[in-house]
This record gives sequence, C-alpha cells and structure tokens, in this order.
Amino acid sequence: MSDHKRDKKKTRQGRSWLAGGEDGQRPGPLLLGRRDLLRASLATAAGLLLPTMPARRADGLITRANNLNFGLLDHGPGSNPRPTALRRMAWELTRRTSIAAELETKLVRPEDPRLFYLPFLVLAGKDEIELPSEAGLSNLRRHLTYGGMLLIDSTEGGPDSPFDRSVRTLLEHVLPGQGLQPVPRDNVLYQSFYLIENPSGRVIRRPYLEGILTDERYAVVYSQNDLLGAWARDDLGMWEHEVEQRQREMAFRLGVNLVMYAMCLDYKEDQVHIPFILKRRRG
Amino acid sequence: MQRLLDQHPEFNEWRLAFLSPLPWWLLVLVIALLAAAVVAAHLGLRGERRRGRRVLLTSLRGIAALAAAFLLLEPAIQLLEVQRIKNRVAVLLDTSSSMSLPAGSGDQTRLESAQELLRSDPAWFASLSDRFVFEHATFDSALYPSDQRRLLSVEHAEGRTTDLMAALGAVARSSGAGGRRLAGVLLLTDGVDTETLAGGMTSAARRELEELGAPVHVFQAGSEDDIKDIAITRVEADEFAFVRNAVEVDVVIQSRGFPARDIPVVLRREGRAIATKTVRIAPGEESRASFRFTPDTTGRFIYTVEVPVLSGEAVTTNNRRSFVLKVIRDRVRVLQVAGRPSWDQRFLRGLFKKDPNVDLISFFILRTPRNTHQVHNSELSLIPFPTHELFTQELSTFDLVVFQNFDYLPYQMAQYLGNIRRYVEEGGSFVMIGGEKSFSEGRYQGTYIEDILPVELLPARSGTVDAEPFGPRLTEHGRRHPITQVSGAGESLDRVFDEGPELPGFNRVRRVRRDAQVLLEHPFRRGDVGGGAPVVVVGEAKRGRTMAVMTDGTWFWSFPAAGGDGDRRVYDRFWTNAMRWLVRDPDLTNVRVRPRRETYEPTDTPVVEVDVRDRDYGAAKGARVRLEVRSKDYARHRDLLGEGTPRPIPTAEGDEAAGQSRVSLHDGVAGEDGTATFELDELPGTGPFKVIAEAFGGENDLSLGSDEGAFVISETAAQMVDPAPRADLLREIASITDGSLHKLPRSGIPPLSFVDPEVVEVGRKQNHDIWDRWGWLALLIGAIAAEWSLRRRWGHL
Repeated sequence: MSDHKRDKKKTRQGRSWLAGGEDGQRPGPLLLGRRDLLRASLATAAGLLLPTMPARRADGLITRANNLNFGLLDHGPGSNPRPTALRRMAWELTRRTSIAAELETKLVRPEDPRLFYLPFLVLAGKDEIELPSEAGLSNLRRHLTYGGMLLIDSTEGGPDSPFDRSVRTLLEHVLPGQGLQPVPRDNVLYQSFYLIENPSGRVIRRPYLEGILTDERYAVVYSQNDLLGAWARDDLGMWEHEVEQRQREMAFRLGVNLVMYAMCLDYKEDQVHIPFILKRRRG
Repeated sequence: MQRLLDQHPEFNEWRLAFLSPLPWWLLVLVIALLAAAVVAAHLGLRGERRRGRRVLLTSLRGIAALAAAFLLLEPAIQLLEVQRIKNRVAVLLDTSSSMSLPAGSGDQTRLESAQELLRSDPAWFASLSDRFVFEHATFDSALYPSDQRRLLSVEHAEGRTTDLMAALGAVARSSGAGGRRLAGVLLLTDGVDTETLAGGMTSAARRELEELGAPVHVFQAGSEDDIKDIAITRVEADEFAFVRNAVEVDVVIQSRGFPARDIPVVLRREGRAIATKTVRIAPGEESRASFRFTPDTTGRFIYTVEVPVLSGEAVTTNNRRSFVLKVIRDRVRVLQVAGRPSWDQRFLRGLFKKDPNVDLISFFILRTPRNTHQVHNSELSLIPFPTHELFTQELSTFDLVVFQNFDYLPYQMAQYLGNIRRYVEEGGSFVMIGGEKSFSEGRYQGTYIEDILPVELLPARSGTVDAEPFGPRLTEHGRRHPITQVSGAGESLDRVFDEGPELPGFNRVRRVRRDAQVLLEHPFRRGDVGGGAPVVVVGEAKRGRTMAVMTDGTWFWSFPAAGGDGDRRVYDRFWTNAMRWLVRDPDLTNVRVRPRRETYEPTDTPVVEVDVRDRDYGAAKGARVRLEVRSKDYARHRDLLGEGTPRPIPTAEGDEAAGQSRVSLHDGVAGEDGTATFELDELPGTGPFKVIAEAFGGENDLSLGSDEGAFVISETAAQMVDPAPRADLLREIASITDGSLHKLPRSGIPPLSFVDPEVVEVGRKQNHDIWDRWGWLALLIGAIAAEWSLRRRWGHL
C-alpha cells in the first residue's frame, strides 16, 4: 500500500472521532453516543496500552486543526454533567466572534496522547474525581506547561465539596507547589473580548475565578459557579437551567473570554489596546 | 686677576676665599664687637659740636675696625681649574602638511619661512656656540633627529598629523650627546596640533611643559588672518545606529577668510543625496548643520557630507568628509496580523512574545461583520483595525510583517498592498502563513502581494485548500538552508520531519518562482516541475526577503509534538531561524565581510577579513573567496588608474550600487578558521570604498553567499582639517615654559634666554693671600694712633 493510500485510510478511519459540523451551523444532537463512547473507550485503552505511542497523527482532527475544539477530560462516570453546554458555547463562539469552533466535544482521557491536539480542556463534575494514572498526570502536566489550558467547572459542588477537594488534590499532583489563587479583577482574562466585571455562572458561589499562573499565563482556571450549567440548552432550544437572563449572558461572555484568552493570550494587554479599554471601563 | 691667571695657565677660574683658622662663630663675634666699637665711638662724640671732628674720628675708628676684620678673615684669591659643560638647545622644525600652506599673502610657505629664519642669522648661533650645542630635528606625529643642513633642505612638508607634546616630550627625554641639560627649545611651527593639544592645552600637558625646565621659544609660521578656507572640521555621529530609528548627525564647519554667507551642506548615503541643509558661515566662526534621518536597512553604509569649494580656498579636500555608519537592529520588530484566532496564531504569538529580542505588534481579527450577536462597543474590548496607520505610517518601522491566515478584502486593504510590496522591495521582510483565508483563498492572486511572494498563486476560490494530512519532506535546499536547521545536537534532520507530527493540510499554489527555494515539500501531492508540492518556500524580492508557509499547522511541531516523541523545540527553532533569516541576521549569513577598521590613513594598508561558513554553518576551510572593491568616485579613479578602469557597474535607477566602479578584484582562500584575509595595499587614491565578497565552496564550487562592507581612506590629513595657525596655543606653551612667541616671517633671531651651563670643578686650586701684607697692619696701627692723638688734642680722652 502506498503512503498516500495508507494516509487516506487513516484519515477516513479517524474522522468520526472528532468530526464536526460546519462553522455557523446550529447545534445538533451531541455526538457522544454509544458508538463514540465505545470508540473513546477503545482509544483510551489503546492509550493505556501504548502510552508512549508517538502522536504523529490525530486522526480526523487535523482537517480543522486550528479551530477551537473543546476537549472534555474523561475522569470516569460524571465526566460530562452538562452534555449540551460546550456544544452551545462553541456555537455561541462562532456567532459572537471570528473563532471557528467545532461543535462536537471531544471526550479524552488524560493518558491519551491526542490530548495534545486539544489545547483547550474542560474538566467538569460535581462529585469526587479519581486521580489519573501517573501517565495521565504527566500528560496533563506537559499539556498545561507547554501551552494548553484547563477550565475546571464545578456544576453542583461548592467550596470544600468532594469535587472541590479532589480538584485541588489533582492540581497539586499535576502542578505541584503552584496552588490555585484568585484571578485578579484587572487580569486580561476579564477583557480578552468582553469587558467583564465579575465572573458569572448558573449560580454565584464564588464571585471570583481561581487560577494557576504558569509562564505568565493562567494555564488553569477554576469556576465554582456552574458555568456550564448556564450554557446548557437542549435540542429543542430550551435552557436546561433557570438562570436570570443577564447572568446567563455574562456566563457566555465569560466563556468567550476564556476561549479568547486561551487562543490570544495577553493580546489585549498590548499597548495599543490599553487606552481604548481604560476609556471604556471608565465610561 | 687676569694677570694672575695668565701667570698660572693651568688654572682657568678664580674666586675669593677666606683662610682664617678661627671658627666662624668667633669671627662673627669679633666682627660684631668691631662694629660695636665703631657705634660706640660715634655715640661718644655727641658732645662734639664740630661735625668735621665727629666724622673724622668715627671714620678713623671704622678704618681701624675694617683693617682688623680684614686681618682676622685672612682673604685670598683662589685659583681653580674648572670645566663648563655646554647645555643643548633643541631646534624643532614642524614638517607636517599644514606647513606647506602659504605663510602669508605671498608664495612663501610656512616651512620656507621657518627655514629662512634659521638661515638668516648664523651669527646668533655662533655667539652661543661656546655655551650651547644645537640639536636639530623635524617633527610631525613624532620627532625625527636631523642636522642643520638637512633641516634647511627639507622641501616637502607631508606629515598627516602633528603632536607638539610628543616632540617636546621626546626632546626632554633625550639626554643629548654627553648627557647635556636642555637649555631651551626653538620651536618652528604653525601649531596645528592634531593629537594631544588638538582640543587646547590640557592640565597633563601643562605639567609636562613645566617639568621641561627650559624655555620654549616659539616661532609661529603663518597667520590666522591670511588663510582662506572652509572646512568640515567635525562630523559628530555615533558609530552605529538602530534601523528605523532616527539618527542625528552634526556637522561642524569652520570658515576662515570669507565674508559671512549661506552655503549648502549636503549629506549623501552611498553617493546619493539624502538631505541638504543651509548654514550661515562667518569668518573665524564655527557653524553647525544638524541632520536627522532614519536608516531603513541594516548594514554598513558610507555617508558623506559636503560643502561647496569656494574660490581661493587653501585646502579643498576638507570640504568633504565621509564616515561609515553601522546600522543594526535593537530588537526585531514584528507585525503579526491574523485573520482569526487560531492555535497556529496562538503558538506563534507565544513564541515571539517570550523572545526578548522581538518587539511584537499583533492585530487579530476577533469579530467580523458575519458575527451576528451585537453588543454595544462599550461592553467590548475591541479596537478598530488601524489599517491606514499600520500600512502607511508605521509599515517601515517593522522588520518583519506576518500575514497569518489573513484575507485583506474585508478590511479595504487593497490600497495598502502596494505599500507592502514597496516595503519589502526596499529591504523589509514578509511571511504569509496558510489557512482558509490565505494565498489564493485570501484572493491575493494578481495583487502586489503575489509579486513579492516566492510562489505564484492559483485563481481565487478554486478550492486550493487541501485538507489531507501529510508529513512534509525536506528538499535538497531544505537540508542546507538555515531556516530548516531545526534538529537538536546529534539528531538527524530528516528524522525530525519524518517522525514529527503530520500537518493538517496545505494551501496549493500554481508554481514556485524561478529564483525561490523550496525547503519543505508535500510527500505525495505533485508540484509544477516535478517533486512534491511546495509547503515552505523562501525567496527574495529586490532588497527584501519573503517566505510562504503553505500550511497553518506548524504549531503541530510544538504542542502536539510534546505529546509524542517529537521535539517541541523544532517549532521554536523553525520560526526563530525563519525570523532571523528574513531580517538578515548577520549570524545567519554564510559570508561576512569585516574591514579591520572603518577609517584608514592613506599611508595605512586597509585589511579586510571575510568569514566564510559552510552550509552547515561550520568554518568553510578552503573556500574560495572573491573580493571586489568598489568606489563611487569613478572619474577620480579613472584618472588614477588610467583608461583601463572598468566602467561604472550598470544598475537600476535608484539602486545603491548605481555609479559604483570596480577599482580592484582580489582572490583568496579561507583558512582553517574559515577566514580569508585581504590586504588592500594597491588601492588608488582616497575616499570611501565598498567591499563585496562572494565565497564559493563544496564539490561543485557553488556560491556560499555574499556580503558587503565599507571603509574610508581619509581624504584629508588631520592636519588639513583646520589648518589655521594656533597662536593662542603657541603663546600658552611659551608662557608656561617662560619662553617667548615670535611670528614668522622675520629675519634675525632676537635675544633669547636659555638655561646657562653649569660649572664643574674638575682639577686643582691654589691660594694667593692678599691679607699678608705689612700695609694692612700699618693701616690698622696708624688709624688707632691717629684717633688716639686727635682725641687727646680735642679733649675727648
């Protein structure tokens, strides 16, 4: 078989894993059905069996490699407590910004080397989560150190909940000695697209975000306000949770800002932007 | 006394000596008593009314006291045999080139006026010859011992500099024949010092002159009032400047002998006028012209300032002055424009931002008219895309412009594409990075941007994005090109790309331009002339460099590579290399020209070193190097070299090389360290010179690259920059040393003071008593007896 044919075959095989709709397409059903879960499980198993397998190709992903593709960390049962949220957020991103976002969320185990094709990871849950394997911890550490970003959202738990405690334990293992700190209000994260005063979500348990600063950027951002709950909307267009309209809008704006921050870094701190932003904040 | 010396010819000197054996204190005591006796005699006569008697008696007492003292002291004439060592007088004649200028309004030069003085008064020299020896020397930057005959026969004053303190210091340090002491200096000069005293008297020089211990008698050649000259005395410019940063150059012009008037001052870069200023000159005053300009490319450039030559000027070469300005970059200023946020853009920004040598200005399109969700601007942090400001006013301030998946049409940028082409052609650099908004998809086909890209584009909207993943393959050019030297130590370059992550797709183009180089190609899509379709291509557009990266997936060499066995630093190396190559980082050139100095005197041999590196950037031992020396001044060198001088090199209008002519061609071979050294000892004339080196190496003797340098051979001797005599300085030298200042021309040397020679007793001595005579005793007794007799008679006893 020629290289060409072999490559084509690989591409076709892999497309279903991360296939997505066209830009601007209305959100359809979340494609994390049985087949996807089966494939994801197989992929995870492959990752476990061959943890050092070179990630020369992320099958099916690379056709739109530059698009935003949320990677949802698979930490076992309860990994996806708001199944429609990220899809909705992706759709909002394409509606509100020039970011091209894939509507499909990729569920990925920390051990999977394909984690590195998904620079934006989301860890959501409400209960205690188990620590990944050493390989998973190492992968996560390299992901966050080399340029990736992790958004952690506590859907039901609050401060000092089992989820909260296990997240802090996880982060202590992934980025030892770099504990979560409140993100200052004047951080560029609050002005990367929208000018935001306070973080929002389905509920306001904590009026601030926490984060871990690595290499002068927040590689980890932790919201305890069920951000995904505010984004979640079912296939019939109904919001899945009751949230005051302005609060929901601010939750979307925070989501946009987080993605923009991941993709543009401190762009809005460039000197050319500062006078405009200061003027608007004052006005 | 002469008779005594004549009687004793073995002695040549005499002196008065006292031979009394009594101790000195006793002699002092006795003499004091004798004086007291005289005073007592005078006081004892206060009752005597007749003045004559008082005087007579006191005088007799005084005579007796003197006679007694004389006998006590026992005076004698001491004959001596002594020797007198002649001191030396240095006669210093300035033979620097300013001494060849007229001394006054006539034809006589300053040198001739000094020689005439020495020739005019042989009697003066003869009259001092018994006490002094004369040591003759000429000087300019140093002292050259001579003799009177040669001093008077010097015909040409040619020294390019004058160092008065070096000459006087050498005279002081010289012990002369037989260890003679310096009695004084005759300094014949115009005082145009170009070294220690160029800026006037210094405290160190003042101390040195004081320590000379001998008068310096200065004869000033020439007069400040007689010279007519306009000179560029100084060009105040830094040795290097930063590209695209304003540079200030101050030109100091000295005018002498011309009435006040306006004159133009022209600043040229490589022969082309870039600015003109008008300054007002006034006799005896300095005028200043300040230029401010912004160099737009890096390198070494020859700048020349000129003022017109007026009728009757003493020196015309000082109306022009050249200097080499090294233009470097402080930080690489990069403009990154991205059509939308993407991971490709994110990782490139991250790389540039963390590089302290990069000043990054980013503009990302965060929202387009297609984004339907509207909010009030006050709730957004967005700013307008300042296209006009960026691509008209600011464009030239960037070293590198990056269009990353950016389409120009929605932003009404068509009008600025010509500016970008011009910017590149004038030395800027440009990269287009692929994506669904780039190359043909960005509708750049047929635009000014396509003109500068190293690839030709397919028509717009022809489905030019190929989404098939692929592993790019190195080409032969890619194996050697500095951009693709991305492997770590000991790592195979091929393996880096063979085993690195596959890229997510690429932008197809029509073809690669003939003079462009493909570094990476597609492994299975065919290109236009065999081989794979181009993926990374570099090229040049006149003076600028461009690069086409037909993929938006190079970030796969960074982040995804970190997830596998790949080396994520490949990405950093690739883009850092690319940036450095695009902006012509000197460290990324295979050939580097290094003139050992930037300014040479005509008597110096200019030396140019050429460093040659192989394709792998190791020292290219044995590489063949051809060095061409060019000059702008074709006409002058044709005169110097004859009719065989090559014609000026034909170049495009406005090109920097326009009007240059080749003045010499040299071949050399790089040594062990990859350096070829050229000693350019046969250059014709003076002025600015460009050197262009090209090196050849490898099995096929292919060009390894070329580079340019520049140096200047001073057209004006430092002496001639401002050749007016410096009377103030000479007067100060004379004053500090207790000497004198005299102006030339004059005939006859005036009386001058010198340090007299010391006398040294070298032989016998003989005493001839003058006290041991009976008359002295008779005088003593007679005076006492007469006083006693008269006192008795006049009733004072």
